[in-house]
Amino acid sequence: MSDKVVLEVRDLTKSFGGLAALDRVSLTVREGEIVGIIGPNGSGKTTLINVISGFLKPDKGSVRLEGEDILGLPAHKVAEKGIARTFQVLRPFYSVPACHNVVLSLLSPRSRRLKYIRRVGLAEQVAMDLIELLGFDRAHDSFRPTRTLPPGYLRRLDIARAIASEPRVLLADEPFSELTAVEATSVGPALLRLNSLGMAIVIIEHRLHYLMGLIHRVIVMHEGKVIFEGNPEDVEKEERIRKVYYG
Amino acid sequence: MAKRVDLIERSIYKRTQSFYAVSSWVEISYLLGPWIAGIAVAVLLPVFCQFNAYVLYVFTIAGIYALLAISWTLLALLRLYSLGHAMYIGISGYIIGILSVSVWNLPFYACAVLAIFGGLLLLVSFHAASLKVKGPYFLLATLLLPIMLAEATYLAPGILRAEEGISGIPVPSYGLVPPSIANYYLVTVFVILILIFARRFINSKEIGLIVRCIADNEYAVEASGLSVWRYKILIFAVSSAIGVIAGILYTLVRGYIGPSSLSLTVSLTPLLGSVIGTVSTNIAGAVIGTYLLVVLLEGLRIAAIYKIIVYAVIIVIVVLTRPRGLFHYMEQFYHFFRRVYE
Repeated sequence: MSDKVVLEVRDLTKSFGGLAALDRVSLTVREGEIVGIIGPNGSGKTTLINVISGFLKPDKGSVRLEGEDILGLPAHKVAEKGIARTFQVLRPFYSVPACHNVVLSLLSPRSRRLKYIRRVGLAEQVAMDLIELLGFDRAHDSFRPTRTLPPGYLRRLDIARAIASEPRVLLADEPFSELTAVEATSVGPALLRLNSLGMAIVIIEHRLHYLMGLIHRVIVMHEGKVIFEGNPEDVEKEERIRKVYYG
Repeated sequence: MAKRVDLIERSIYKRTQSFYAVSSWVEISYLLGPWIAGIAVAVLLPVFCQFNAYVLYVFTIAGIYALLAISWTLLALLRLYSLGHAMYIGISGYIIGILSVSVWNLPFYACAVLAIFGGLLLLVSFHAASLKVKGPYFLLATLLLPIMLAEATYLAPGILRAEEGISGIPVPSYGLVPPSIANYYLVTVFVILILIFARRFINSKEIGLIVRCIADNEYAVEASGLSVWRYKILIFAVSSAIGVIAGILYTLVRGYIGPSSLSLTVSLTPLLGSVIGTVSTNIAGAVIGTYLLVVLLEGLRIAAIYKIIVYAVIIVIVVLTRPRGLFHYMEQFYHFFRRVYE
């Protein structure tokens, strides 16, 4: 992990009607770092990801990727600059076979530039490499109909789709939700492997016991504000956080 | 020696895993047979019916509706279901009518070229505006368009000629296609064949993949760095272009454009044809379904008052008994061909 800042978010504010979903949120993510964002339901975690990835327009604030202002760009442009995201609700591309979920992402301008992809045939090979990296059986799973895959596979498929374009930062929105204990243990190592390749990762999660072993730093949000930032070990000791979670 | 019977389809699939590496004449003719037979029947129809103008007219109109059905199917790929395909005919027809009869007297080919560009511009800009709405709202927006255009003809009776319509649209006096109904018929057949093969070619490639993914989850496509807007506009443009070509042929064959060409029946025919032909977005199925529907309805012409009832009855029967579309059952039936090994 280096000291170089990849993603810098300053004073991000977003309100829906009278409700402040984000209230002057600031955070930085350094190269090769895994940051966890936790907080009770409705604390603005997913809104934060939606704003950073360009799906929502904020009221105020700035988002910089390696010094370049990316706020206000449409979502596909943000992805092209190098911010990939996964989705909390699993909605994969059901009408195509498993590996084509990843091929789609390999057909984007950024992937074409970085991986020299010209044809769908080559993209399929690269996609199979990627899902193999995430623990799929290359021969057996690549062309399985997406409908037949269990949730754990779909979750990892979504991650594979997101990382196919070699993003600078991966925003993972609840990568452990809906998974069984066995399935969840397969996602953690996959994320660590990606991180070891130099990718900065931001993880939003409710299931803290899976999260805490992975992350270098944790950010706690409550009612649209950042209320704590620090080591994962210190979270349990903080009285404020106990109060937020347990009342 | 004992005989062994096997399905040809299964033996091809088993050996080649759907790659059509074919080794015997039986298999080659099995795969190409339906195509060759279909194309032969379509191209030789004028000879079969001894250049009977009425039969050819019916089949030409059916072919034009089939083109509209292809255009409809392309939009259905994006899960956008249109109820206003009469709009495509109306826009290109009125552009030709204005240019060649009511305002200027341009020759037909010049009108056709201008109708393609003008029609594309109008239709794509409308679709771009309707991108925000989805599902039933898109349906309503498209339903209203032909009605609006039909009403607009009353606002400019000098140019658009109100309920009278614009008649006497000139036929091309020179060029590759001399004006006869047999030639118009062949033009529709060739355009349809080109589109069927183009679709088969494009199906497995990039655009086909991206469009199917957009239909499944456009947010994930956007998050993968592909501009959903761009691909939607592309599909709209191709769909509109096919619809505009259908409209030009329609105006040419009938020599007339008026509010009756904008009626709901015109919009419903390609839709119902596609539903009868196939539930998936299979172009060949949609084309076959539309031909069947239009020719059948023309056969019931004597009972014109009951047309709409017959429409409804046909749809109910097909949906109840053949819910996956006729084309699917034709395919299944064909796959039952067996061969006998000695």
